[in-house]
Amino acid sequence: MYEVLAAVRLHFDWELFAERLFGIDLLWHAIVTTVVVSIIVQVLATAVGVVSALSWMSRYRILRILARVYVMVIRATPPIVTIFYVYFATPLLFGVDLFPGRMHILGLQVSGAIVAGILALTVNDGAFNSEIIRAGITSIDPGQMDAAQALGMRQQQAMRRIILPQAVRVIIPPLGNQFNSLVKMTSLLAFIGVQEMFLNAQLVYARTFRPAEVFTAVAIWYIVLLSLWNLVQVRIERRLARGFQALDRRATTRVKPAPSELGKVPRSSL
Amino acid sequence: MTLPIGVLSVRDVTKSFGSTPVLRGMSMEVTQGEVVCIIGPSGSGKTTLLRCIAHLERIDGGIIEVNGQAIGYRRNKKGKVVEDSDRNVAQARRAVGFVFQRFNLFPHLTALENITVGPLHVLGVDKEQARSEAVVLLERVGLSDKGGNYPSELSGGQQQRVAIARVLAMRPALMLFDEPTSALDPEMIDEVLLVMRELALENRTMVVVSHEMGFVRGAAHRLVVMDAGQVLEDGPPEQVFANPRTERTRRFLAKVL
Repeated sequence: MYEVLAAVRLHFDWELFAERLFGIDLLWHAIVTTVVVSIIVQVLATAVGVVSALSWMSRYRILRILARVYVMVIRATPPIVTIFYVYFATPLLFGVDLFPGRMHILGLQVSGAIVAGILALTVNDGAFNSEIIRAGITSIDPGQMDAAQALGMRQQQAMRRIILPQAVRVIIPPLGNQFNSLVKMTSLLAFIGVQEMFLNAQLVYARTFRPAEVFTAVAIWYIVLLSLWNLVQVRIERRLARGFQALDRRATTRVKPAPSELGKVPRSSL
Repeated sequence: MTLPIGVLSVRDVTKSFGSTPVLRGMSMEVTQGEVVCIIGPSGSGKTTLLRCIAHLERIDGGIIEVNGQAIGYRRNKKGKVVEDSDRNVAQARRAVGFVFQRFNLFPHLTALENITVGPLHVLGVDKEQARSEAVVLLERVGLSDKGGNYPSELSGGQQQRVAIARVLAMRPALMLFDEPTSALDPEMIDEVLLVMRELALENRTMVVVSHEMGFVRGAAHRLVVMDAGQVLEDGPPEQVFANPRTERTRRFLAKVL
């Protein structure tokens, strides 16, 4: 046994490594799955996050409670538990085969596991996005809502036209980081049999018993994908900062108390 | 002589923040074309009063009417006074314009867009008309070359003038000014006061919280002195200055004049 280990350690199979790294034909499907699942989840989870964040701040108590419970429960649940719960438990709870091996969605034939995986990650990510979006909205000066309402805007109109466009600038950077961890989290879908990058690697490892080659290659793939994403994120952030630079400069250098506050007469002197 | 038309009626309004009373049975009337200045010591409730008039704060008691219409509240079927729906409050607020101490321009919109956003999305004015009206308004406040600038690229005085133009674009029946010059550097105060003085000459109905005594003397028809959430004095500025009714007013005026 030890001889085998030593042999494996000495002999790094460069051929297998190169195949796992450059064998696009073998990897293509897995990479596309990882990327597409990540993007779909990000879009859905952003929508869930907006709805949840607005519910959290809603006038209606019931919505506030629902949003709080959702965020609290999900943030305290390991993502793998959520994934197993959605895939294995919910079909039993509903007594319906929600995620059959083959299903048709929007004219596409996909595996039920992918659908369950997308749902589970959306539920998971949505809770985190909710907090990010809520923090972004609360960071906007309340004077902005006052001004919008004083102009005669209704609350949701003010939110859409005045508050959210400003909050986006605050929200995008952490949302981008969230996407980064989401891409990595899709590897958990391997455990319910989604043919993404990590499962693809694991299957080869199971066949070849060559963890170093296989997992180094897959790690490099994740690093490449996320480095690309990082470039995109930097560009987006630079773009959003445009037009706000003067404001940022002023905010840090020109905080001046109103003269009226300084010169005011204390009530006791009257 | 024509009978004065009431624009603003504040009757017996009470308001507390937690257990701290801010307005204690506040009442005042403002008729069309009147310029009323409010002064008073810090914490006397001046800003809160203006915010209540625009229903940016709820009130605990009393009633505020603009053009004879209650703002923020209605009677339900049982005759109980309840807060009005978001839609109705927004509708009622159109009659009121608010100029804030800290301008509160929308930083993601240009000066011109700050002025058109209300007419476009609240009044439903078409794009071309909103734009051309905004251009006229920018010229009026002396900023015709700044339409494409973002608020962050404007000085405080310029921002406040844009904020005034933004309010004018909504053609409000009543304009509220909450210490409009007290966040400004001294050299910018006059350019804002000048615009306000012109508005006063046009017979606009204005309620101005300000300690700019030059403006009070030159433009105000009436001076209201507030203290502890109530009206201490209410009369023509000359009269209040010359003959304050109470010792408290006299001492306050001695400090601000």
